Amino acid sequence: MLLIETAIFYLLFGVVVAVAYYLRGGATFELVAATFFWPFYLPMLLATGEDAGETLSGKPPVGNDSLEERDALATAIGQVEGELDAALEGLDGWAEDVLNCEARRLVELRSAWRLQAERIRQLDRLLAEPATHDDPLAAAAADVGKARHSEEVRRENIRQLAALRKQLHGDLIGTLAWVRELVTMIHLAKFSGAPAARAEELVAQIAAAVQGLSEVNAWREEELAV
Amino acid sequence: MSATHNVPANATEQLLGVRRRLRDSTLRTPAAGAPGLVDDEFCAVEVVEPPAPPRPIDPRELTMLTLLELVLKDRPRLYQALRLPAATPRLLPRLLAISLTGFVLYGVAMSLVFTATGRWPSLMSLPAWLETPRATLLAFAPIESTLGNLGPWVNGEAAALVAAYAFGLIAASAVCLPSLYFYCLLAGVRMTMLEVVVHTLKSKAVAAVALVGILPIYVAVAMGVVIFGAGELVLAGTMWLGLILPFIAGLWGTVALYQGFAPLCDTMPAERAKRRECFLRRLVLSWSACYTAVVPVMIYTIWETLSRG
Repeated sequence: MLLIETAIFYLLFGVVVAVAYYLRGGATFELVAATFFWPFYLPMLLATGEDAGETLSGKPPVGNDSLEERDALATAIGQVEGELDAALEGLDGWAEDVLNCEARRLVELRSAWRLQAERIRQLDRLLAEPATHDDPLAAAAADVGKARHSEEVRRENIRQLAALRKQLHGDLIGTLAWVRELVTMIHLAKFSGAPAARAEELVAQIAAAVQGLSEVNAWREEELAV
Repeated sequence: MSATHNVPANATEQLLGVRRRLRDSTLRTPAAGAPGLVDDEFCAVEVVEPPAPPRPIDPRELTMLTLLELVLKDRPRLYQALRLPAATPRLLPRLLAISLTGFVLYGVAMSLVFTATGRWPSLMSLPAWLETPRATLLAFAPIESTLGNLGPWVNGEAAALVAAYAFGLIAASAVCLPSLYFYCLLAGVRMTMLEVVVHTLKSKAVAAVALVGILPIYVAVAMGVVIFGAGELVLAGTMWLGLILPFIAGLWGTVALYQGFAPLCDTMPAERAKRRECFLRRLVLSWSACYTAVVPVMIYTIWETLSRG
Protein backbone atom coordinates (compact mmCIF):
# COMPACT_ATOMS: atom_id res chain seq x y z
CA MET A 1 0.00 0.00 0.00
CA LEU A 2 1.33 3.41 -0.94
CA LEU A 3 1.75 6.26 1.49
CA ILE A 4 -1.17 8.20 0.04
CA GLU A 5 -3.60 5.33 0.59
CA THR A 6 -2.31 4.87 4.12
CA ALA A 7 -2.76 8.59 4.77
CA ILE A 8 -6.33 8.48 3.44
CA PHE A 9 -7.24 5.58 5.72
CA TYR A 10 -5.48 7.25 8.64
CA LEU A 11 -7.41 10.48 8.14
CA LEU A 12 -10.66 8.57 7.63
CA PHE A 13 -10.21 6.91 11.02
CA GLY A 14 -9.23 10.29 12.39
CA VAL A 15 -12.46 11.92 11.21
CA VAL A 16 -14.52 9.09 12.74
CA VAL A 17 -12.71 9.37 16.08
CA ALA A 18 -12.97 13.18 16.04
CA VAL A 19 -16.72 13.09 15.40
CA ALA A 20 -17.24 10.47 18.12
CA TYR A 21 -15.08 12.52 20.47
CA TYR A 22 -17.11 15.64 19.72
CA LEU A 23 -20.40 13.83 20.25
CA ARG A 24 -19.16 12.55 23.63
CA GLY A 25 -18.64 16.13 24.81
CA GLY A 26 -15.21 16.97 23.42
CA ALA A 27 -14.28 20.58 22.74
CA THR A 28 -14.73 21.92 19.19
CA PHE A 29 -11.18 23.21 18.89
CA GLU A 30 -9.86 19.70 19.54
CA LEU A 31 -11.54 18.26 16.45
CA VAL A 32 -8.46 18.91 14.27
CA ALA A 33 -6.11 17.46 16.89
CA ALA A 34 -8.33 14.38 17.26
CA THR A 35 -8.34 13.92 13.45
CA PHE A 36 -4.57 13.98 13.10
CA PHE A 37 -3.63 12.38 16.40
CA TRP A 38 -6.53 9.97 16.83
CA PRO A 39 -4.43 7.14 18.33
CA PHE A 40 -4.10 9.30 21.46
CA TYR A 41 -7.79 10.16 21.60
CA LEU A 42 -9.14 6.67 20.94
CA PRO A 43 -8.20 5.21 24.39
CA MET A 44 -9.81 8.21 26.07
CA LEU A 45 -12.94 7.73 23.99
CA LEU A 46 -13.12 4.06 24.93
CA ALA A 47 -12.35 4.69 28.59
CA THR A 48 -14.85 7.50 29.08
CA GLY A 49 -17.77 5.25 29.86
CA GLU A 50 -16.08 3.30 32.62
CA ASP A 51 -13.81 5.49 34.68
CA ALA A 52 -13.71 9.09 33.54
CA GLY A 53 -15.36 11.26 36.12
CA GLU A 54 -15.75 14.16 33.76
CA THR A 55 -16.94 14.84 30.26
CA LEU A 56 -14.26 14.80 27.59
CA SER A 57 -13.99 18.57 27.65
CA GLY A 58 -12.92 18.30 31.26
CA LYS A 59 -16.02 19.99 32.65
CA PRO A 60 -17.79 18.18 35.49
CA PRO A 61 -21.26 16.97 34.51
CA VAL A 62 -23.99 19.26 35.77
CA GLY A 63 -26.27 17.93 38.51
CA ASN A 64 -24.56 14.54 38.79
CA ASP A 65 -23.78 14.20 42.46
CA SER A 66 -22.43 10.65 42.34
CA LEU A 67 -19.81 11.53 39.72
CA GLU A 68 -18.81 14.61 41.70
CA GLU A 69 -18.46 12.40 44.77
CA ARG A 70 -16.40 9.96 42.72
CA ASP A 71 -14.06 12.78 41.86
CA ALA A 72 -14.00 13.96 45.44
CA LEU A 73 -13.02 10.50 46.70
CA ALA A 74 -10.33 10.05 44.06
CA THR A 75 -9.03 13.56 44.79
CA ALA A 76 -9.01 12.92 48.54
CA ILE A 77 -7.15 9.62 48.15
CA GLY A 78 -4.71 11.22 45.70
CA GLN A 79 -4.11 14.08 48.12
CA VAL A 80 -3.43 11.82 51.12
CA GLU A 81 -1.19 9.61 48.98
CA GLY A 82 0.76 12.69 47.92
CA GLU A 83 1.17 13.84 51.52
CA LEU A 84 2.16 10.33 52.62
CA ASP A 85 4.71 10.01 49.81
CA ALA A 86 6.20 13.39 50.66
CA ALA A 87 6.49 12.44 54.34
CA LEU A 88 8.05 9.05 53.62
CA GLU A 89 10.46 10.53 51.08
CA GLY A 90 11.33 13.21 53.63
CA LEU A 91 12.54 10.56 56.04
CA ASP A 92 15.77 10.28 54.00
CA GLY A 93 16.65 6.82 55.26
CA TRP A 94 15.85 7.81 58.85
CA ALA A 95 13.50 4.83 59.23
CA GLU A 96 14.72 2.75 56.31
CA ASP A 97 14.29 -0.64 58.02
CA VAL A 98 10.69 -0.19 59.01
CA LEU A 99 9.89 1.30 55.60
CA ASN A 100 11.22 -1.84 53.93
CA CYS A 101 9.30 -4.04 56.33
CA GLU A 102 6.05 -2.14 55.98
CA ALA A 103 6.24 -1.53 52.24
CA ARG A 104 3.81 -4.34 51.52
CA ARG A 105 1.26 -3.12 54.04
CA LEU A 106 1.55 0.44 52.76
CA VAL A 107 0.72 -0.85 49.28
CA GLU A 108 -2.18 -2.78 50.78
CA LEU A 109 -3.36 0.39 52.48
CA ARG A 110 -3.50 2.25 49.16
CA SER A 111 -5.32 -0.68 47.55
CA ALA A 112 -7.78 -0.79 50.46
CA TRP A 113 -8.57 2.93 49.99
CA ARG A 114 -9.26 2.39 46.31
CA LEU A 115 -11.34 -0.72 47.03
CA GLN A 116 -13.39 1.15 49.62
CA ALA A 117 -13.89 4.08 47.23
CA GLU A 118 -15.00 1.67 44.51
CA ARG A 119 -17.54 0.06 46.88
CA ILE A 120 -18.93 3.51 47.66
CA ARG A 121 -19.23 4.27 43.95
CA GLN A 122 -21.00 0.96 43.34
CA LEU A 123 -23.45 1.75 46.11
CA ASP A 124 -23.94 5.26 44.71
CA ARG A 125 -24.79 3.79 41.33
CA LEU A 126 -27.15 1.30 42.92
CA LEU A 127 -28.90 3.94 45.02
CA ALA A 128 -29.20 6.25 42.01
CA GLU A 129 -31.19 3.64 40.08
CA PRO A 130 -34.91 4.40 39.61
CA ALA A 131 -35.84 1.10 41.32
CA THR A 132 -34.62 2.46 44.64
CA HIS A 133 -37.05 5.40 44.46
CA ASP A 134 -40.82 5.48 44.58
CA ASP A 135 -42.38 4.29 41.36
CA PRO A 136 -45.92 3.41 40.21
CA LEU A 137 -45.39 -0.25 41.16
CA ALA A 138 -44.42 0.72 44.71
CA ALA A 139 -47.49 2.96 44.95
CA ALA A 140 -49.71 0.15 43.69
CA ALA A 141 -48.12 -2.36 46.09
CA ALA A 142 -48.90 -0.07 49.02
CA ASP A 143 -52.61 -0.53 48.31
CA VAL A 144 -52.49 -4.33 48.13
CA GLY A 145 -52.40 -6.18 51.42
CA LYS A 146 -49.95 -8.96 50.53
CA ALA A 147 -47.63 -6.70 48.58
CA ARG A 148 -47.55 -4.02 51.28
CA HIS A 149 -45.29 -6.07 53.56
CA SER A 150 -42.85 -6.84 50.73
CA GLU A 151 -42.76 -3.17 49.80
CA GLU A 152 -42.00 -2.18 53.39
CA VAL A 153 -39.15 -4.71 53.58
CA ARG A 154 -37.84 -3.45 50.24
CA ARG A 155 -37.80 0.13 51.51
CA GLU A 156 -36.10 -0.97 54.74
CA ASN A 157 -33.41 -2.74 52.72
CA ILE A 158 -32.84 0.38 50.64
CA ARG A 159 -32.54 2.40 53.86
CA GLN A 160 -29.95 -0.12 55.11
CA LEU A 161 -28.03 0.18 51.86
CA ALA A 162 -27.97 3.97 52.28
CA ALA A 163 -26.78 3.55 55.88
CA LEU A 164 -24.10 1.13 54.74
CA ARG A 165 -22.90 3.60 52.14
CA LYS A 166 -22.72 6.30 54.79
CA GLN A 167 -20.77 3.98 57.06
CA LEU A 168 -18.29 3.02 54.33
CA HIS A 169 -17.82 6.67 53.43
CA GLY A 170 -17.27 7.58 57.07
CA ASP A 171 -14.71 4.79 57.52
CA LEU A 172 -12.77 5.85 54.45
CA ILE A 173 -12.74 9.53 55.31
CA GLY A 174 -11.85 8.67 58.92
CA THR A 175 -8.88 6.56 57.86
CA LEU A 176 -7.69 9.17 55.40
CA ALA A 177 -7.91 11.86 58.08
CA TRP A 178 -6.08 9.63 60.53
CA VAL A 179 -3.23 8.98 58.07
CA ARG A 180 -3.00 12.72 57.41
CA GLU A 181 -2.69 13.26 61.13
CA LEU A 182 0.06 10.64 61.35
CA VAL A 183 1.84 12.27 58.41
CA THR A 184 2.00 15.56 60.30
CA MET A 185 3.26 13.63 63.32
CA ILE A 186 6.08 12.24 61.18
CA HIS A 187 7.03 15.78 60.19
CA LEU A 188 6.78 16.86 63.83
CA ALA A 189 8.90 13.95 65.04
CA LYS A 190 11.51 14.60 62.37
CA PHE A 191 11.85 18.31 62.97
CA SER A 192 11.71 18.05 66.73
CA GLY A 193 14.69 15.70 66.59
CA ALA A 194 12.95 12.57 67.81
CA PRO A 195 14.87 9.28 67.69
CA ALA A 196 14.48 7.04 64.64
CA ALA A 197 12.41 4.61 66.71
CA ARG A 198 9.67 7.23 66.91
CA ALA A 199 9.48 7.55 63.14
CA GLU A 200 9.48 3.78 62.81
CA GLU A 201 6.57 3.59 65.22
CA LEU A 202 4.66 6.20 63.20
CA VAL A 203 5.28 4.44 59.89
CA ALA A 204 4.15 1.18 61.45
CA GLN A 205 0.97 2.87 62.69
CA ILE A 206 0.23 4.21 59.20
CA ALA A 207 0.71 0.74 57.78
CA ALA A 208 -1.60 -0.59 60.51
CA ALA A 209 -4.37 1.68 59.24
CA VAL A 210 -5.05 -0.95 56.60
CA GLN A 211 -6.33 -3.23 59.38
CA GLY A 212 -9.27 -0.94 60.09
CA LEU A 213 -10.41 -0.97 56.49
CA SER A 214 -9.58 -4.66 56.04
CA GLU A 215 -11.62 -5.60 59.09
CA VAL A 216 -14.58 -3.62 57.83
CA ASN A 217 -14.24 -5.18 54.39
CA ALA A 218 -13.74 -8.69 55.79
CA TRP A 219 -16.78 -8.33 57.99
CA ARG A 220 -18.87 -7.31 55.00
CA GLU A 221 -17.62 -10.29 53.01
CA GLU A 222 -18.68 -12.58 55.90
CA GLU A 223 -22.01 -10.80 56.16
CA LEU A 224 -22.63 -11.31 52.47
CA ALA A 225 -21.64 -14.98 52.73
CA VAL A 226 -24.20 -15.49 55.51
CA MET B 1 -28.97 -5.73 62.07
CA SER B 2 -27.20 -5.11 65.37
CA ALA B 3 -24.08 -6.87 64.06
CA THR B 4 -24.19 -4.57 61.10
CA HIS B 5 -23.07 -1.66 63.21
CA ASN B 6 -20.98 -3.40 65.84
CA VAL B 7 -18.02 -4.43 63.76
CA PRO B 8 -17.33 -1.10 62.07
CA ALA B 9 -17.81 0.62 65.42
CA ASN B 10 -15.23 -1.71 66.99
CA ALA B 11 -12.85 -1.05 64.17
CA THR B 12 -13.30 2.70 64.59
CA GLU B 13 -12.78 2.42 68.34
CA GLN B 14 -9.61 0.42 67.72
CA LEU B 15 -8.35 3.12 65.38
CA LEU B 16 -9.23 5.85 67.86
CA GLY B 17 -7.42 3.97 70.64
CA VAL B 18 -4.26 3.74 68.58
CA ARG B 19 -4.61 7.42 67.72
CA ARG B 20 -4.80 8.41 71.36
CA ARG B 21 -1.77 6.30 72.31
CA LEU B 22 0.13 7.61 69.35
CA ARG B 23 -0.65 11.23 70.05
CA ASP B 24 0.47 10.82 73.67
CA SER B 25 3.72 9.13 72.65
CA THR B 26 4.55 11.63 69.92
CA LEU B 27 4.02 14.69 72.04
CA ARG B 28 6.46 13.22 74.53
CA THR B 29 9.22 13.27 71.97
CA PRO B 30 12.74 13.74 73.47
CA ALA B 31 15.30 16.07 71.89
CA ALA B 32 17.85 14.67 69.48
CA GLY B 33 21.21 13.80 70.90
CA ALA B 34 19.86 13.67 74.42
CA PRO B 35 19.44 10.01 75.27
CA GLY B 36 18.35 8.98 78.71
CA LEU B 37 16.28 12.05 79.48
CA VAL B 38 14.04 11.80 82.51
CA ASP B 39 10.30 12.04 82.21
CA ASP B 40 10.10 15.78 83.11
CA GLU B 41 12.41 16.74 80.30
CA PHE B 42 10.08 15.50 77.62
CA CYS B 43 8.45 18.13 75.38
CA ALA B 44 11.34 20.54 76.03
CA VAL B 45 12.17 20.63 72.36
CA GLU B 46 11.95 23.38 69.83
CA VAL B 47 9.27 22.52 67.31
CA VAL B 48 10.12 23.62 63.82
CA GLU B 49 7.20 24.29 61.48
CA PRO B 50 6.86 21.18 59.28
CA PRO B 51 6.82 21.70 55.52
CA ALA B 52 3.39 22.29 54.07
CA PRO B 53 1.86 19.11 52.66
CA PRO B 54 1.34 19.06 48.90
CA ARG B 55 -1.80 20.88 47.81
CA PRO B 56 -4.47 18.66 46.24
CA ILE B 57 -4.78 19.03 42.49
CA ASP B 58 -7.94 20.44 41.06
CA PRO B 59 -8.15 19.29 37.41
CA ARG B 60 -9.56 22.69 36.43
CA GLU B 61 -6.32 24.41 37.42
CA LEU B 62 -4.34 22.41 34.84
CA THR B 63 -4.09 25.02 32.11
CA MET B 64 -1.36 24.97 29.48
CA LEU B 65 0.72 27.52 31.35
CA THR B 66 0.34 25.63 34.62
CA LEU B 67 1.42 22.41 32.93
CA LEU B 68 4.39 24.17 31.39
CA GLU B 69 5.38 25.40 34.84
CA LEU B 70 4.98 21.90 36.28
CA VAL B 71 7.18 20.46 33.52
CA LEU B 72 9.86 23.03 34.25
CA LYS B 73 9.69 23.41 38.01
CA ASP B 74 7.63 20.76 39.76
CA ARG B 75 7.86 17.37 38.11
CA PRO B 76 6.59 15.39 41.19
CA ARG B 77 3.37 17.42 41.12
CA LEU B 78 3.03 16.73 37.41
CA TYR B 79 3.30 13.00 38.14
CA GLN B 80 0.71 13.46 40.88
CA ALA B 81 -1.63 15.06 38.31
CA LEU B 82 -1.01 12.22 35.88
CA ARG B 83 -2.32 9.74 38.45
CA LEU B 84 -5.60 11.62 38.76
CA PRO B 85 -8.11 9.95 36.39
CA ALA B 86 -10.35 13.04 36.42
CA ALA B 87 -7.48 15.16 35.09
CA THR B 88 -6.84 13.02 32.00
CA PRO B 89 -9.33 14.79 29.68
CA ARG B 90 -7.62 18.09 30.46
CA LEU B 91 -4.06 16.77 30.40
CA LEU B 92 -4.18 14.96 27.07
CA PRO B 93 -4.95 17.89 24.70
CA ARG B 94 -2.78 20.30 26.64
CA LEU B 95 0.28 18.06 26.71
CA LEU B 96 -0.25 17.47 23.00
CA ALA B 97 -0.45 21.22 22.40
CA ILE B 98 2.77 21.83 24.35
CA SER B 99 4.56 19.14 22.34
CA LEU B 100 3.27 20.45 19.03
CA THR B 101 4.18 24.04 19.86
CA GLY B 102 7.71 23.01 20.82
CA PHE B 103 8.27 20.94 17.69
CA VAL B 104 6.78 23.61 15.41
CA LEU B 105 9.10 26.20 16.96
CA TYR B 106 12.00 23.84 16.31
CA GLY B 107 10.94 23.38 12.66
CA VAL B 108 10.70 27.14 12.12
CA ALA B 109 14.10 27.70 13.76
CA MET B 110 15.70 24.99 11.61
CA SER B 111 14.16 26.51 8.48
CA LEU B 112 15.66 29.85 9.48
CA VAL B 113 19.08 28.26 9.98
CA PHE B 114 18.93 26.56 6.56
CA THR B 115 17.83 29.84 4.99
CA ALA B 116 20.75 31.63 6.62
CA THR B 117 23.22 29.04 5.36
CA GLY B 118 21.77 29.24 1.82
CA ARG B 119 21.45 25.47 1.71
CA TRP B 120 18.44 23.25 1.97
CA PRO B 121 18.29 19.49 2.62
CA SER B 122 17.64 17.55 -0.56
CA LEU B 123 16.03 14.17 0.14
CA MET B 124 16.19 11.02 -1.92
CA SER B 125 13.16 8.73 -1.86
CA LEU B 126 13.68 5.62 0.27
CA PRO B 127 12.82 3.07 -2.49
CA ALA B 128 15.31 4.78 -4.84
CA TRP B 129 17.96 4.80 -2.13
CA LEU B 130 17.38 1.11 -1.38
CA GLU B 131 18.06 0.37 -5.06
CA THR B 132 21.35 2.32 -4.99
CA PRO B 133 22.42 2.37 -1.33
CA ARG B 134 25.70 4.10 -2.11
CA ALA B 135 23.91 7.32 -3.09
CA THR B 136 23.53 10.02 -0.41
CA LEU B 137 20.18 9.81 1.35
CA LEU B 138 20.20 13.43 2.47
CA ALA B 139 22.42 16.16 1.02
CA PHE B 140 22.58 19.88 1.68
CA ALA B 141 22.14 21.48 -1.75
CA PRO B 142 22.38 25.23 -2.44
CA ILE B 143 19.00 26.92 -2.63
CA GLU B 144 18.13 27.52 -6.27
CA SER B 145 15.12 29.77 -6.55
CA THR B 146 14.21 33.01 -8.26
CA LEU B 147 13.25 34.28 -4.81
CA GLY B 148 16.75 33.62 -3.49
CA ASN B 149 17.06 32.14 -0.03
CA LEU B 150 13.36 32.76 0.64
CA GLY B 151 12.43 30.19 -2.01
CA PRO B 152 11.81 27.27 0.42
CA TRP B 153 9.42 29.45 2.45
CA VAL B 154 7.32 30.20 -0.63
CA ASN B 155 7.37 26.81 -2.39
CA GLY B 156 6.36 24.95 0.77
CA GLU B 157 9.65 23.22 1.57
CA ALA B 158 9.87 24.99 4.91
CA ALA B 159 6.29 23.98 5.71
CA ALA B 160 7.16 20.37 4.78
CA LEU B 161 10.10 20.40 7.21
CA VAL B 162 7.98 21.87 10.01
CA ALA B 163 5.09 19.45 9.38
CA ALA B 164 7.38 16.41 9.09
CA TYR B 165 9.08 17.06 12.41
CA ALA B 166 5.98 18.23 14.33
CA PHE B 167 3.80 15.39 13.10
CA GLY B 168 6.49 12.71 12.80
CA LEU B 169 7.86 13.07 16.34
CA ILE B 170 4.40 12.71 17.87
CA ALA B 171 2.94 10.19 15.41
CA ALA B 172 5.94 7.90 15.93
CA SER B 173 5.07 7.65 19.62
CA ALA B 174 1.50 6.77 18.61
CA VAL B 175 2.93 3.93 16.51
CA CYS B 176 4.94 2.73 19.51
CA LEU B 177 2.08 3.06 22.02
CA PRO B 178 0.96 -0.59 21.95
CA SER B 179 4.51 -1.81 22.55
CA LEU B 180 4.87 0.51 25.53
CA TYR B 181 1.58 -0.77 26.92
CA PHE B 182 2.74 -4.37 26.62
CA TYR B 183 6.14 -3.53 28.06
CA CYS B 184 4.40 -2.06 31.10
CA LEU B 185 2.30 -5.18 31.50
CA LEU B 186 5.45 -7.28 31.17
CA ALA B 187 7.10 -5.27 33.92
CA GLY B 188 4.05 -5.85 36.11
CA VAL B 189 2.88 -2.22 36.17
CA ARG B 190 -0.89 -2.22 36.02
CA MET B 191 -1.67 0.62 33.65
CA THR B 192 -4.55 1.30 31.35
CA MET B 193 -3.92 2.25 27.73
CA LEU B 194 -5.13 5.74 28.59
CA GLU B 195 -2.51 6.11 31.32
CA VAL B 196 0.17 4.94 28.89
CA VAL B 197 -1.03 7.58 26.40
CA VAL B 198 -0.88 10.37 28.98
CA HIS B 199 2.59 9.31 30.15
CA THR B 200 3.83 9.16 26.56
CA LEU B 201 2.48 12.62 25.82
CA LYS B 202 4.04 13.89 29.03
CA SER B 203 7.43 12.61 27.88
CA LYS B 204 6.86 14.28 24.50
CA ALA B 205 5.99 17.55 26.22
CA VAL B 206 9.13 17.33 28.38
CA ALA B 207 11.23 16.61 25.27
CA ALA B 208 9.61 19.53 23.42
CA VAL B 209 10.29 21.91 26.30
CA ALA B 210 13.91 20.69 26.49
CA LEU B 211 14.21 21.16 22.72
CA VAL B 212 12.97 24.74 22.94
CA GLY B 213 15.51 25.26 25.74
CA ILE B 214 18.41 23.95 23.63
CA LEU B 215 17.27 25.73 20.47
CA PRO B 216 18.57 29.27 21.21
CA ILE B 217 22.02 27.85 21.97
CA TYR B 218 22.02 25.86 18.75
CA VAL B 219 20.78 28.78 16.65
CA ALA B 220 23.46 31.04 18.15
CA VAL B 221 26.16 28.46 17.32
CA ALA B 222 24.77 27.93 13.79
CA MET B 223 24.64 31.68 13.17
CA GLY B 224 28.22 31.94 14.39
CA VAL B 225 29.26 29.27 11.92
CA VAL B 226 27.47 31.12 9.09
CA ILE B 227 28.69 34.61 10.02
CA PHE B 228 32.32 33.64 10.60
CA GLY B 229 32.34 31.53 7.43
CA ALA B 230 33.49 28.22 8.83
CA GLY B 231 34.40 25.50 6.37
CA GLU B 232 31.97 23.25 4.47
CA LEU B 233 32.58 20.37 6.82
CA VAL B 234 31.76 22.40 9.90
CA LEU B 235 28.68 23.83 8.17
CA ALA B 236 27.44 20.37 7.23
CA GLY B 237 28.19 19.13 10.74
CA THR B 238 26.21 22.01 12.23
CA MET B 239 23.24 21.29 9.99
CA TRP B 240 23.33 17.58 10.82
CA LEU B 241 23.52 18.46 14.50
CA GLY B 242 20.40 20.57 14.02
CA LEU B 243 18.54 17.70 12.41
CA ILE B 244 19.31 15.33 15.29
CA LEU B 245 18.59 17.92 17.98
CA PRO B 246 15.12 16.45 18.77
CA PHE B 247 16.80 13.12 19.50
CA ILE B 248 19.16 14.76 21.98
CA ALA B 249 16.23 16.54 23.63
CA GLY B 250 14.39 13.22 23.56
CA LEU B 251 16.75 11.96 26.27
CA TRP B 252 14.97 14.27 28.73
CA GLY B 253 11.69 12.79 27.54
CA THR B 254 12.99 9.26 28.13
CA VAL B 255 14.11 10.15 31.64
CA ALA B 256 10.71 11.74 32.31
CA LEU B 257 8.98 8.64 30.99
CA TYR B 258 10.93 6.41 33.35
CA GLN B 259 10.46 8.79 36.29
CA GLY B 260 6.73 8.72 35.62
CA PHE B 261 6.57 4.93 35.45
CA ALA B 262 8.86 4.12 38.39
CA PRO B 263 6.43 5.27 41.13
CA LEU B 264 3.74 3.15 39.50
CA CYS B 265 5.62 0.12 40.85
CA ASP B 266 3.42 0.60 43.92
CA THR B 267 0.65 -1.07 41.95
CA MET B 268 2.49 -4.37 42.22
CA PRO B 269 3.19 -6.47 45.31
CA ALA B 270 6.01 -5.03 47.39
CA GLU B 271 8.27 -8.08 47.21
CA ARG B 272 8.13 -7.91 43.42
CA ALA B 273 8.39 -4.12 43.13
CA LYS B 274 12.14 -3.82 43.74
CA ARG B 275 13.00 -6.67 41.39
CA ARG B 276 10.72 -5.38 38.66
CA GLU B 277 11.88 -1.77 38.93
CA CYS B 278 15.16 -2.67 37.21
CA PHE B 279 13.25 -4.63 34.60
CA LEU B 280 10.96 -1.65 34.05
CA ARG B 281 13.99 0.60 33.53
CA ARG B 282 15.30 -1.77 30.86
CA LEU B 283 11.92 -1.95 29.19
CA VAL B 284 11.60 1.84 29.07
CA LEU B 285 15.07 1.98 27.50
CA SER B 286 14.04 -0.71 25.00
CA TRP B 287 10.95 1.26 24.12
CA SER B 288 13.06 4.39 23.67
CA ALA B 289 15.32 2.45 21.31
CA CYS B 290 12.28 1.25 19.37
CA TYR B 291 10.93 4.82 19.23
CA THR B 292 14.33 6.15 18.13
CA ALA B 293 14.29 3.67 15.25
CA VAL B 294 10.76 4.57 14.17
CA VAL B 295 11.08 8.37 14.37
CA PRO B 296 13.72 8.96 11.66
CA VAL B 297 11.86 6.73 9.22
CA MET B 298 8.59 8.48 9.98
CA ILE B 299 10.03 11.99 9.70
CA TYR B 300 12.02 11.20 6.58
CA THR B 301 9.07 9.56 4.80
CA ILE B 302 6.70 12.44 5.59
CA TRP B 303 9.32 15.08 4.74
CA GLU B 304 10.28 13.46 1.46
CA THR B 305 6.64 12.91 0.43
CA LEU B 306 5.62 16.47 1.28
CA SER B 307 8.71 17.93 -0.44
CA ARG B 308 7.88 15.99 -3.59
CA GLY B 309 4.30 17.25 -3.56
